Amino acid sequence: MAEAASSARYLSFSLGEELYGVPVERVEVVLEMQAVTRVPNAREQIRGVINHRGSVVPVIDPRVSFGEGRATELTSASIVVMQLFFEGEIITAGVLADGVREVLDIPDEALEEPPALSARGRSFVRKVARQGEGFILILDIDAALLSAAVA
Amino acid sequence: MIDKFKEAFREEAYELLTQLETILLELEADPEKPELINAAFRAIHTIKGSAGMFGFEKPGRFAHDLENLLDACRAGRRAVDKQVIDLTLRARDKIRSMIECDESGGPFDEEAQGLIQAFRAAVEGRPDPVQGAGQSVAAVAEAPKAEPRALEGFRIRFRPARDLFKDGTRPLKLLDELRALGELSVVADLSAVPTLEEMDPEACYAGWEAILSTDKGLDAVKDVFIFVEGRGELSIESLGELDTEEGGAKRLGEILLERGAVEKAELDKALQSQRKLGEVLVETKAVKPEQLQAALAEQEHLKRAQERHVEGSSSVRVASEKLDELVDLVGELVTLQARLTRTSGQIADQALGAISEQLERLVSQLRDTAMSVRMLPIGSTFSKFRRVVRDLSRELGKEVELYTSGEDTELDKTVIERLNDPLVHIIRNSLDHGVETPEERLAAGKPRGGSIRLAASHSGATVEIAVSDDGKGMDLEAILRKARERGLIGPHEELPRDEALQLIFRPGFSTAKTVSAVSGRGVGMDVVKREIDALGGSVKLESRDGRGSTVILFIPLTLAIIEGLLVRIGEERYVMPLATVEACVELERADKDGEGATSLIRYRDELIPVVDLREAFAVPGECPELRQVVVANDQGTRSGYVVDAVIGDYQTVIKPLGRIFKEAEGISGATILGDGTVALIVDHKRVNAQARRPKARSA
Repeated sequence: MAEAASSARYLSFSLGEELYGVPVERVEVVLEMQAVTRVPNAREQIRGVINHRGSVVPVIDPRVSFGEGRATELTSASIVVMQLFFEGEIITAGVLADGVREVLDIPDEALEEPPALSARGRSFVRKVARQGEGFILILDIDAALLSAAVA
Repeated sequence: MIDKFKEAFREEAYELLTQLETILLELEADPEKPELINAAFRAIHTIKGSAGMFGFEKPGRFAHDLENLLDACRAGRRAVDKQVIDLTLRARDKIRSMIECDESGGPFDEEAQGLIQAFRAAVEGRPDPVQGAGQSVAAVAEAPKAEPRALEGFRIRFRPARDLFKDGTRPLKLLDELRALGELSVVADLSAVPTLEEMDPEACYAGWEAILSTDKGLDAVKDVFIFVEGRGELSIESLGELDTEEGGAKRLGEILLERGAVEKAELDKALQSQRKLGEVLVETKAVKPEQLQAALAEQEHLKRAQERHVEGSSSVRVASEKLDELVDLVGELVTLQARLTRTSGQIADQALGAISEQLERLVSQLRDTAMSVRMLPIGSTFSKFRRVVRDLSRELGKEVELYTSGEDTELDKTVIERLNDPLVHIIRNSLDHGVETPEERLAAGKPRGGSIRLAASHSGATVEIAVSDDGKGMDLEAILRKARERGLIGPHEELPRDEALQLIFRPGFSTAKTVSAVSGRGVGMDVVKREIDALGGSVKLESRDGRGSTVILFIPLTLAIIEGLLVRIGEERYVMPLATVEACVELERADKDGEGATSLIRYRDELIPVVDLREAFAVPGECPELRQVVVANDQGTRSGYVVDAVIGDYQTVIKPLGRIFKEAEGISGATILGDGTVALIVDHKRVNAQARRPKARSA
């Protein structure tokens, strides 16, 4: 019991050069890539909207939040649909993913403070965990949208 | 469980209290109406009863004393005067606050005690110290609704004299008059019409039998025939109250007997033959076919009246969430239907096409029905405004009456709810700044009392709600001065009168910083505009110096489903609300004068501003040579929007985009197309304003 309390499950996915993780209980479903409708004048890291079970759901590109700028072509393979908080409300949003890997059990003590990233990146990477040779970045997905207000 | 009951009680009590308020305000205008006093008494009595039942002992006790007062009025022991109405209105507010604050027991506070003392004093008929102060009586409904009388059926037979036409009487007019009284079924009795050679073309051979159900009473029916009295045979018989609980539809035989068309013995004989009674009676010549027809019409009429009564009495309370869910589902169905239509168009199979078309008709009926369930008459909120006018005009020492019209104009329930606060703001503003004090009005040669008119009406896909006063009107110079002070316009900028008036809706125009739904006085009109914008509507101000001003709200009928025009720009598709679209015209590149997002084109001898949506929305791709302009008309103001191609009209379920898209100006929502992809709904007014803004600044 004590062990279970001190670990959490994360869904890991790759996007660009990085490996990201999000708390699995936030994830609703992983969708195949589909037509994303661009929304003119929307904030930069929202690539557009998709139809998810009759609701119109925004699709977020986390790379923009990292200050990488966004690729003009949408080459990602999947959209991870998850719940996130935005201005005090729970909303459903999709996050782009090149490849969805696995669900990982990461004990809390394995989580480390993120290394010096760019200021913008830092604001929404909550923790990092060593994963083989690299790192997995645990996203604070709620902040990913808010940071855009600064942009 | 208990809470659920309590909630139900609350809901019922609020409803009754609202009714009570309306009744009281009507009573104030017409204190002689015993029905109104009875209705007020009943409302309080019901509240008292159910309050006790659900453990709201305190408001119950309080209501008891109020009930005594109303009972005294009802019995004629106490005249219904200002004091009684004032007291009852205050008591009504008190009961509401007790129920709201869940005060179920315990001692009364000072206010409640004071009121109870006042009730008792009033019952004993002690003089009212305030009476005769000559204060204003506010709020008169243009058509106060009386308690409906019971529906009564009448059998009317009219066989005019042959020479009826000679004095210019037109019998059909009489039937129209009857029809105005209520539901009417008419059968013409043509049995006296002779053959063609015998006929005198100037004579009236026809007679009529009619069944009328009306709540206006016998005298009203008699009045219709007042000018033809003695000009033929006329009989008017009452069939009694129609909406009695007992008794189903009458049998044909009974009706024939009652009408004296058949003898009992003949009827019994016919009944034994086990065939359709009417046929038998006619066959055996016991009854003339005309007589039978008239009797059948009567039967039908009574049956309908009965059914209507059942319908009327069997309304069901439904949680509004369920309605929302229903509308959502219908929305999904509409989307799916669009997809089916598209697919069947591609497959081009006749059988499939027929099914798809039929389904489309059904779905659109279902959509209309589902939407209509959510529609409520706007009148329910109007009574609230009477109270606002009454109380505020007293407070300000003004004499103002509120006239309302168009109460039965229907609007989506959620829209009505959200209209409440803006309307209160507007009415308060009119009272506060528009209507003058009695002295000022007299000096200006106007009647002492001012008036505010609240009128709702349908106008295509929108509902117009106009609030007008007969006050001093807007001071145009003061508006311009204030706008310059606040930097909303340049120091020497002049605006046409009409545009200058609309400045009051600009954010930052009003000095009032705090906004509260309750106090709301001096509230900025920008708050009103914001609310109306959020509903997808628009606001307009008209004003005439010394004659008063009018604020008009244009509100879309519904928020959930609109008729849209599907357009294509590059690879992207957008939907424009069809209600404002006036025309689509072709545009060659050369027709546009100048580059940039905005330009002008000639349309029907008029130069109209045009926004290139490709540029406004930064759509990628090559711009084609031949494009189209969608011309929108917003209350007379035309503007054009350039798109690559118009695809066609499209029924659209609006899906909100949420606040994370608040930067996406010019987009009001999204919709799911037949192929499952998402198209965005264009808010063309915003696009227009946005496209013009930087240009205006740089000029």
